[in-house]
Formats: sequence, structure tokens, C-alpha cells
Amino acid sequence: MSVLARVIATFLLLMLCVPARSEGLIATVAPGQIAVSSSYSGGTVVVFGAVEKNTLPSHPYDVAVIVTGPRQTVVTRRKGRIGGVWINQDSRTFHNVPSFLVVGATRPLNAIASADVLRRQGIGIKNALFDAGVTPDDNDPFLINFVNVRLQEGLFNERSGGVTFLSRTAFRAEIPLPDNVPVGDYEVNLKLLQQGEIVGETLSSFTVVKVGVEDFVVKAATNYSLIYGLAVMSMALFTGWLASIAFRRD
Amino acid sequence: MLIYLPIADLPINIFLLLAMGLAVGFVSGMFGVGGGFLMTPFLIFLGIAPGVAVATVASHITASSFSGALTYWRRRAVDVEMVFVLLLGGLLGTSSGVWLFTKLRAIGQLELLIGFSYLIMLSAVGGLMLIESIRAIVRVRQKKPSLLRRPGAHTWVHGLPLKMRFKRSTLYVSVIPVWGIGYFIGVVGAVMGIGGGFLLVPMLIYFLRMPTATVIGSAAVLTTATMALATVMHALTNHLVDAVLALVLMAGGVVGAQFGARSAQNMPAERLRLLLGLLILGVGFRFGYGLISRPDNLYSIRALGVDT
Repeated sequence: MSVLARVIATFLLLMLCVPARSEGLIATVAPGQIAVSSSYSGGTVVVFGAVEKNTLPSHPYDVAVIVTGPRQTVVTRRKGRIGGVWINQDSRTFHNVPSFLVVGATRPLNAIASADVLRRQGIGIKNALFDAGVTPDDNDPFLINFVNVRLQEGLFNERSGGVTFLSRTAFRAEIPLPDNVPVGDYEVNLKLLQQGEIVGETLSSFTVVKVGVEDFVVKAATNYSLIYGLAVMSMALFTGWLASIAFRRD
Repeated sequence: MLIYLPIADLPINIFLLLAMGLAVGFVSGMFGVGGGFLMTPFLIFLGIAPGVAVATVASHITASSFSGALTYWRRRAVDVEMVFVLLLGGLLGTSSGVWLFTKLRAIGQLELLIGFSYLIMLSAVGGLMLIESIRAIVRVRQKKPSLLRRPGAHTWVHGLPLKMRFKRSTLYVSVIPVWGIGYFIGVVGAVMGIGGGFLLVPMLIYFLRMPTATVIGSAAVLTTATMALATVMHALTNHLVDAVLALVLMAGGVVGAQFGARSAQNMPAERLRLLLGLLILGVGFRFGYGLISRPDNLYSIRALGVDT
């Protein structure tokens, strides 16, 4: 292979990796920390973003936002009927799947880019489910039902709205958090599209923490389980003793 | 007002929980049982994971049975030797129960075991209680004298070796069936999230011929010990005991029990047993229905832990 051919090959490879046009995208997430307390019943995270550009865009922008919660290993089980009784039979384990996944965009996903672009960029629930490189089988009943259960729980969500442009370059995205939102670090991935092509992207984050009694109880139960167990037991004995004194009738 | 349960991981109305505690406490006070067989199913039907329900109710029963145990202790209605021998089996049984619970949870069959245990135990006990109390009511109607229990009557149980004398209960029986009963109650309590009083009291009366004067107090002391151990072990192995949930249930439970005990004083014993039998049978059938009816969703998911 000649030197020239090698240079051309390298150049072509670079062309594939780098977006044809790259535009600056900045974003901020508010609030940066969600506190789950005893009165927590869901909340909203708002992302404000803007395209850094001095001239007006030649074509309107689209923005897609992908919010992923802490990744976990999940077992999906299927019940079958044995002798008239419904019993868990088959199961499938999925590794490294997000515990929370919300995808929002300015327009319906199939309108902002081709299926191929969406898949490569991880836009959409199925496309964002696994780390890049894994192509999920769309006909796998365990995968379909895993997603369905998470959708019902409100932990997965795909909204064609959710992102609105405030001006030609500034936008706002709303991410609803259900009351059962898992604790941990969340990634907010923003993709800027123009005419079906990616022209910019940026990464932001927020965290969900338990606070107050909740935080204390969960940490005690997992890190100091023996002391925690003894404490609950003592609390029970104390309550019982108190009741026997308070309602004594002799 | 919603309160967030940290281990169950969901918000729930605190007044609903208090009312449940009161209602179950009322029933437990009325019939002299711990009420776990009602509380655990109620929590499961509310959407709390069965594992969390079973583990948390263990602490709730510790509170209610300890309050009862203290009352009986003051009346000197506890056979300490009997409780000690029962405990040898009971504590081992609780450990086996928590171990079984952990294993079945790992392979996804815990709910099946809980459902089956409830169906079998509650239908059997509830059915027997129903038949027995209907017979008693019929006898009262026909003005026949009630059948006298013969405390001295011997069964095959009394032929076993390793005999021991229990002074308070005026019994001379082998310790093998006592260990066996203790072990059985320990396993069942840890797996089903019940104190087992409604199983223990009839077993002590029918198998060992223990007199009614000491049986309920001794059962309350045994239940306190096995459930206290179950609380600690469930907390240690499965991290499923929810302290906030436990506290709310306890508060409602101990108050409800007092009202239940008072309202039971004006009711004939056989009618009380009839009502309790119907209640137990109803819960058992509800679990049976849950096993055979097609679930809304055949798929269920469980997170095994956070990946880094």
C-alpha cells in the first residue's frame, strides 16, 4: 500500500468519526441534586441549553436529551402454568442496564433523524439501553417485557415533546422524576441535530440522594446491619413494654 | 399524608398504615393472636415486596407478643421450663427459616413458597377451627354439656423417650415433640412473617396436653424470642427490615390490641373461634386464588445490584 493510499484511508476514517459540522452546545441542569426525603413524591429536573453560534442557523435545530440513571444488573422472570399454579419458570439476566431512562426530543424521534443515526447515537429507549456495541434483539420477549415493566413503573419514558426551543438557539428540556426514582449519579446526554445529522453534543449530570431519616435508615440497614437489626428489635421490645405499662389493668 | 418508606422504597399514606395497624391490632387483641397472618398479606396486597413485608412484620410481632408476654408474666401464667425447651427448637427453626427464605429469594421462588404456605396453613387451621366452633355452637343450642377435655389422656406423643417434668404445667412429657413444635414454629414464622400463635397454641394443647392456664403466656414468650431473632437475622442477611414501616405498624398495633381485648370480653368463646376461623380461612383462600389466577403480567423484574 502506497503512502498516499494510507493517508487517504486515515482521512476517510477521520471523516467518519468527526461530525461534518461541529457546533458548540452548552447546557446546565437544575437542580444539580435531588433530595429524596420522607415527603418526596416525585419531581422535575430542568435542562437549559444553548447553541453557541454567532450567525443564525441555516436550518432549524432539533435537540434530543437522554437521561440515564445508575446502571444495574436485572433479572427478568416469566411465569408459566404448572399444574394449575403460576410459577416463575424462565429468566433472563441483563447486565449494565440503566435503572432510569428518559428520552425526550423536540419532535417525534423518527422525524428528527433516520433510524440508523438514532441507533448509532443511542437516541430512543431501545437504542440507549445497552452500551454501544450491543445490538438488542427486538423480538426478545424478555427484553420487550423488561422495558414494558419499567415503562409502567415510570422509570423509563420516551417523550416526543419535552424539549422546546425558547429562541432559535436556546432550548429547555423537562425530565419528570417519579416517586420511586433510584438514588445515584445520572447522566444527561444532549444531542444537537440539524437536517437529520448530529452537529453537536454535550454531557451534563445530576445526582439523586436520600436525605434525613431515609438516608440514615438505608445506610444503617446496609452498612451496619447487625446493629440495625438489634436496634429495630430493641425498639419493638420497648414498644411492647410501653404498651403493657400504659394499658395495665391490674 | 405520604410517608416514604426507606427500605420498601415507596411512599405510602401514613394514616392508611396506622389504620391497618389498629385494625390488625384489634383482631389480635380480640382473639389473642399476634396478627402476623393478617398484617403480612395486607402489606403484600398494598404493593410492598413480600420479602420486606415478612421481615418487617417480624419486628411488629415482637412488639405485640412482648406486650402480651409481660402481662402473662405478671399473672405467673408462663411455664419457663417449657419455654426454654421450646426455644432450643425455635431458635434453630428461625435460623433455618431465614436461610430457606434467602435461598428461595435468590432463585425467584420466594413468593411461591409464601403463597403455598399461607394457603395450606391457613386453610387447614381455619377449616378445623370453623368445624370445631360450629360443633360447639350446636352443642350449646341443643343444651348438651360441652365435651370435657381430659388433661390426663395420653397420645402416642407421650410414649417417646427423653422425658422431662414441667412443674408449672403439671406435665411429664418427652422433649422431642417439644423441640419439634418449637422448630416448626420457628421455620414457619421466619418464612411466612407470622408469630405462629394460632398454630402454636392448638399444637401445645392437642399434642402435649398443656393446660390452658399456661399455654397462651408461654406461647407469647416463645413468639417474642423467635420473632426478635427473626428480626435481627432478616436485617443481617437480607437487609429487608424497614424501621419506619415497623414503627408505624407497632404504634397502631399495640393500641388496637387493647380495644380488641376489651370488645372480646362480651362475646362467647365459640363465636370468637368461629369468627377467627372464617377470617383465617378467608386469607388462606385469597392466597390460593393468587396462585391459580392468571397474573396481570407474566413477567416480573428484580434488580440484583448496582453496576459500577
